[in-house]
Amino acid sequence: MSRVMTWIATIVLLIAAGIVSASAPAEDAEADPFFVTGKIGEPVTGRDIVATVTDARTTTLLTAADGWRSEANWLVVDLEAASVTGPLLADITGAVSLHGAVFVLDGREFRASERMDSLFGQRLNPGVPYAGALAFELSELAGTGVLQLSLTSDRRVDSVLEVPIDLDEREPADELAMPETAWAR
Amino acid sequence: MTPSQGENGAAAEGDIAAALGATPAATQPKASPVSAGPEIARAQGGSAPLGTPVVTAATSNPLTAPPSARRTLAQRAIDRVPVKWLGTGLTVIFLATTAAFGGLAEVPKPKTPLLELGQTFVGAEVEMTPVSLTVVDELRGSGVFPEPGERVLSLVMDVRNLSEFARSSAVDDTLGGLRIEELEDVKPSIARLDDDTGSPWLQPGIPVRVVASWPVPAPSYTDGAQARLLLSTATRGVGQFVLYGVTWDDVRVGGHMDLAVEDLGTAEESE
Repeated sequence: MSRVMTWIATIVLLIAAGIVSASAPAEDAEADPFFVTGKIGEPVTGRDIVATVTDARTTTLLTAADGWRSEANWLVVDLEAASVTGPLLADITGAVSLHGAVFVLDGREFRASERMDSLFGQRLNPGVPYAGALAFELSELAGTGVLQLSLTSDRRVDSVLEVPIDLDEREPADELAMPETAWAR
Repeated sequence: MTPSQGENGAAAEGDIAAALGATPAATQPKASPVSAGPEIARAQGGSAPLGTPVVTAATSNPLTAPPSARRTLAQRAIDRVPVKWLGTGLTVIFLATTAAFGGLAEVPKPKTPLLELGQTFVGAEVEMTPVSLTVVDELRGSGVFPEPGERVLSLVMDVRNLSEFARSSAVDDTLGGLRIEELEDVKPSIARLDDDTGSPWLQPGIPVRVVASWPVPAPSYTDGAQARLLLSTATRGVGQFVLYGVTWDDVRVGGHMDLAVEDLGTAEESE
């Protein structure tokens, strides 16, 4: 082989190695969740969760039915949620619940508030969705964030529903009451 | 040339051996290399009588010649190594290194800082500002249910989670790691001051006032008594098998604060 051919082969192999190296997935990519992205108002379906965000509201004073109230920057996400394959009858082993609810804003992961009754942690049934709301206590009501819903807070190798929510276009209400969880239909 | 005296003797012998060098080659062609003659002569130094033909020692016993020649080479090589300098040098380097790291004295442990009331401590990305320490008969919502003979010691504290994700307040790397020195290893119950939420989640960057409570023997804390608060810290790591797997390792005491206890008597309200 001529010297020129050697050089060409070397460069070709180096480029090929670079492409392989650059396109290789990250080491922990095998545990990545499966993101399913949707919009407000349309159902988003994952492996065992289907949810429809019906509205997203902001307020600086949130109240709940039991007299609880809090003055802070609150995002209230109204949604309907159901499981897809979960057991219909109460069955402890197969029960699935909405335990993963995160609002990612500006690189921070805010967890749905556990301070009042909400859909957070609600057991889900297939076919018949629950309607209710999730509340997020945020540092500020500005920017665009992403709502992420999953069955468990451990989101490895399972569906995560994503719905972007723009906070800038929402005028914070003086006061909002947390809607109670009920059957959607 | 005087062959017998002083240092000249060796030189003289060397010269002689060199002069005789041609002899073995002529008399015994099979013998070791010609140069062996003078080598051996030098090695044997002044022991060989002058009159004796030095070469015959080498030539008459050829088997001993190569090892002795090798030993000579090795000795020469060793002679070139400045053994004394090496030893001295290594000693100096060892002493200098030891001195540079503070000598052989015991390394002083970094002192745990002693904070004062009003100061803020940051441990494991959690900002903690103690506000007050109170003792009360009973504190509903605190998560502590005192048994007969016990009261509730409560620390009111402003907290802010500096991490980029929400963290539970109940675990050791956040507020679950708080301790009162005199109480040994009793974990506190954490609750929000405003709405009594137990073991609240600390949302990223959002300040919150919490109450950390311990059950204590009734007589041990009275008005004005001193208690030492141990504030914990930990080192952030990355888990190997968990996605978003932040781990908090090496949970330890990162700061102390001495607080005066305020006795609230039988007060029922949380503040």
